[in-house]
Amino acid sequence: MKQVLGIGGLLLVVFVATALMSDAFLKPFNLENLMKRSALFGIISIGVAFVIITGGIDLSIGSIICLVGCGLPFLLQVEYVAVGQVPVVSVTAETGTLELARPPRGLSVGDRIGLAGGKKENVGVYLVASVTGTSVVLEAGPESDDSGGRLTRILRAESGSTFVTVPGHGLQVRDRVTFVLEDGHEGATARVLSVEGDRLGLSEAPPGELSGLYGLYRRPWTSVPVALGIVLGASLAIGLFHGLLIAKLKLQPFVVTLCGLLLYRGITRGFTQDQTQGLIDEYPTLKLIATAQLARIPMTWGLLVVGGVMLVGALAWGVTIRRRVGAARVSWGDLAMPAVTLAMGVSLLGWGVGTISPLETLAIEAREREEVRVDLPRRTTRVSMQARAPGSDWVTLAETQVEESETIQELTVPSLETIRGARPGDWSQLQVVVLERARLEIGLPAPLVILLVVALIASVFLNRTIYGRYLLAMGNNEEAARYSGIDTDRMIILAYVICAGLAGLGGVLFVLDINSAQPVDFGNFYELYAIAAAVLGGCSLRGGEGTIVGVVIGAALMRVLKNMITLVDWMPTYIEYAIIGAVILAGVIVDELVKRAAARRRLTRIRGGGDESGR
Amino acid sequence: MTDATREPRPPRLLDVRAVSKRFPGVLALDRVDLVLDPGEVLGVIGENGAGKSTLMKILAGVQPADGGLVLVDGAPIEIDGVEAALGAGIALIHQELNLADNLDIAANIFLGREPCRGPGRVLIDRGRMLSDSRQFLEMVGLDRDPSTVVSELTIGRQQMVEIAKALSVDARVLIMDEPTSSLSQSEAESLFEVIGQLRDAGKSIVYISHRLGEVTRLADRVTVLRDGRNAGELDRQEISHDAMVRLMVGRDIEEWDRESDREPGEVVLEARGLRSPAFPAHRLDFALRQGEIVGLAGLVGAGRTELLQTLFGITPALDGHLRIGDIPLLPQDPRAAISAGMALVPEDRKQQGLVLGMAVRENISLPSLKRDSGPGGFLDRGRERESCGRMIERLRVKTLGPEQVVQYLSGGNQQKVVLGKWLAMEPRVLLMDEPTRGIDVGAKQEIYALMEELAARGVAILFVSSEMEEVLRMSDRALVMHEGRIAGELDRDVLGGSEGEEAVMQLATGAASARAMEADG
Repeated sequence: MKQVLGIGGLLLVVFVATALMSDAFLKPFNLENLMKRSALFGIISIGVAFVIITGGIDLSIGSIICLVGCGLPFLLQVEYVAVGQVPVVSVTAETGTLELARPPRGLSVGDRIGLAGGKKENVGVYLVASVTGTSVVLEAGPESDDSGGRLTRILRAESGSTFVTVPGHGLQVRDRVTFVLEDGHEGATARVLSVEGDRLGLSEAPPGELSGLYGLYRRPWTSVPVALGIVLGASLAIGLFHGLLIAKLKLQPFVVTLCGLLLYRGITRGFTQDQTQGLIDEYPTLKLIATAQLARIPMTWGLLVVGGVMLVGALAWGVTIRRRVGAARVSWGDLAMPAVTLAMGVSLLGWGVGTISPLETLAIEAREREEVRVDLPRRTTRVSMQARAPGSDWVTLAETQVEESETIQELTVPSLETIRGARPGDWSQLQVVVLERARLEIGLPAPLVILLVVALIASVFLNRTIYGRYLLAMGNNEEAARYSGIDTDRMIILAYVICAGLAGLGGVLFVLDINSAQPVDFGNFYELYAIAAAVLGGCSLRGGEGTIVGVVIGAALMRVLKNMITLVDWMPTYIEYAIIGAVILAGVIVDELVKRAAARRRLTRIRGGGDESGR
Repeated sequence: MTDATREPRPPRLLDVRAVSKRFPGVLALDRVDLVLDPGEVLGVIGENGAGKSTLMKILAGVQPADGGLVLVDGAPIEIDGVEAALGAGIALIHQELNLADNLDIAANIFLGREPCRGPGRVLIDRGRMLSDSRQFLEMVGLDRDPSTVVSELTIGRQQMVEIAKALSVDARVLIMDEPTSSLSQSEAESLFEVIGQLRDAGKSIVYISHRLGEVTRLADRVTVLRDGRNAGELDRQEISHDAMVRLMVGRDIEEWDRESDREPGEVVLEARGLRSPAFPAHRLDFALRQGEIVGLAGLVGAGRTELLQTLFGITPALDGHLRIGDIPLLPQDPRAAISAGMALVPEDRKQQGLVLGMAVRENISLPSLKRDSGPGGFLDRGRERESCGRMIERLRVKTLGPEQVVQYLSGGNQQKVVLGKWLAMEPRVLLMDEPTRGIDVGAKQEIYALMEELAARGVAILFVSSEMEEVLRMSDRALVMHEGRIAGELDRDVLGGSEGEEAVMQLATGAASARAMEADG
């Protein structure tokens, strides 16, 4: 725990400072977002921490995130295939005959077809006179000869607002329809929202001059599990590839993953042809993995409970240490952890009290003839207006619902004259009583839970299994580990697989959260954020050191810093990198100094029985 | 410089008075005195941690003193850096050589003080560097071209380069810290010769060593340190092994007594036609028996370490047959060797034996973790703590506790931790490479006792040692290597006899086999 003291303290300081400098910072919406982003970066930082613990480095994380983030929407992209659409080979205007690329299925005499994509003058809606093999004869033929275009069977549709009756449509929910206008041109495309027999509920109302429509079958490239399997499998394979090159061929991690950084981004830009890959709104359920809120917690209660537990816990902790070390010899160093916890508890309690929304009574200077505007406290939902005559009690005149708002709202109170008109009485004083205020709630973002699960597993793996011990030993001294019979190659490979796998998971979550990914810059610099978080969290680039808790705190610190720069007015956003760089440097310097002081103290204890007596 | 008027005798070349040095939590030097006359070899001895190295670092300007006075030729000087020390004519030849081994001899000798020429003196005067180097190499009797790259030299010759470097700055006091620790016997011999010549040329030498035999042979006077204080001084005629040990440990160590009634059991390791990658031209045949301590003697570079590493699977054998117990096995990696019941206490304790940044507990349990872990690889932390505690007790490791980081232990205790991690595996064959290098006298005896105890329990021990005394005393049988092959085998009777040392040396230098070949011819 001691290793995370410095970084934890730094997070606390930055957090409190930002809260003091910006009103928006502690807003639930901002905090939810902050938690979500911290969680996403936390996941990839844990990954790189494993590699750093072996004494390696992984620079390819951002590009793996790009590969996965673009690859997932790419694999999940959906094509819409027109029902009964056939390419036209040739049009003979004289006979009104169309030669098709293949026999039109289900097309019969009397059906209507739309001709599009060929010569302009031919575009239109026609009736089918006869069908033989691949040639179709139209009743009133097209105007000029042509060698191209496409024929689409038009379904007859009767429109009534967004509901359309289309006999024999064969469509399902999430398919689409394209409207065909009377002049044969294609109109808008609408999504099918509901299907009841022949009746389709559409997302848009058809245009006025509707001649019919044709259906578009939804055809996804792959299913969700297959797509996830491919992208995650690819990232694990990349990790294995890196690990093999580094462990077996003894290539330098920096070089291997630097090439990876270039390689995977280039590959992604290649197969996507540099086009933005988006999920649009095809996969609402899948997106919940990254965007869902698993619970809404009342902030006041949450803060008071957590703050109280920390307060009591810190006190108990301090007392335990004091008793164990002995009251006379206890030093500030021993009590640092409880002291920081205590400070955090107190801050949380203070914050919790600050979020309590008291019900207030607002006195009003009533005017005879003019309306009065009253500022309501935030999140007021219901108020009552009360009046009283001289010498008597308050009487409620009306209760009003107010729309909840995060900003201060104005309520207009009528003039005394108006009130007397509505309700006779000798009213001379008015007041507004806030009857109800919405509770401040904060959502628990799903990625935070994923992070907690990942961090827990990683922590158990690192500290409670032999493999974690092997990783730490190897990072400290690979040669000694090998001499002790540890399969160091396998451990190196494992670390790179974990790192790339978590980068892949991060990529999935990032793209599901943001909804689209541009191959050019998706995940750019993320490896540096992850490495910085790991280093801030106490991982030494020399290897053999690091805690998962520290890394998670490090990732959170990076996000809070970024949030601070965005929110605090006088900090220009364009110096973001400078501020982040400076804070990381400061953090690492402080950490190094703390470590040295600790080592010196330890040395004193080891060598110096004599030192104690000398004092 | 002529303070002689005030003193009955000329001032000492070097006079160290009441020098103290405090490290956090420990008083490393407590008012230590030391004097040195011109043309004198002064032995400085003491157990590890007695303050020898600290004193020398202070004299060489590597570390500042906290108190005391250093006089050179009777005049107090301030040594505030290596430059100042060299200016006063004091040069330290480090225990670990400080040469840039990618550069040639001349470049190393003049590193940082290259003679320059040309406008602005920006060009290195290579010609002068080479000719000057030749002169200094001659002084140390090293017959190599000064443009030879240092990495091509043996350790012994590299040491000569270090000495030449010290001479090139006109050093009058040469401090040698454990100069023979990585030298072979013959290399050590030529070093002794050079030391004699330097003394005759009026240079003064401070000679620090654990090897009391060498000190006895070389020193004109011996200063003994114990726990950071002067423990005593011996004049030429007083110098003896016992006297030195008595002053070093502050008590008499009972003379080591050999258990002669050890009876080796069955063969537990048998090598036939083993070919190691380091010496592919030679095939090795030998066997180890249960409860037998076999010394592996030879000069540095004779292939002893390489043989152990091949047996342990670090540099797998090219071919040949190896049988451990009843299992035929040619280990391809240490894991295979370990599971067959072998263990290796490697030569380089800090690099190969220990994970310095980890706790005693974590180091001891490292090889046995897999065996002791639960299903799914989960650590059994209770068991780990318990078996580590037992090992600390059994080996009498001096540590604050199992959570103590190994880095902060003394060399002897570190070596015990290395032993502890292997004893936890209960090996049948224990390979030890220089098991007592850099360890003080007390810990040495403990390790010897432990080797005896293990042998008595049936463990076969094969140990490499460059200390002749160690080989002669500890071995039931000694294999002597020469240039990658086993030149001969000596039994207890020869080793224990008066001719033991000579017999080993003849085999090690190849003299014996050359004679045998002549006899054959």
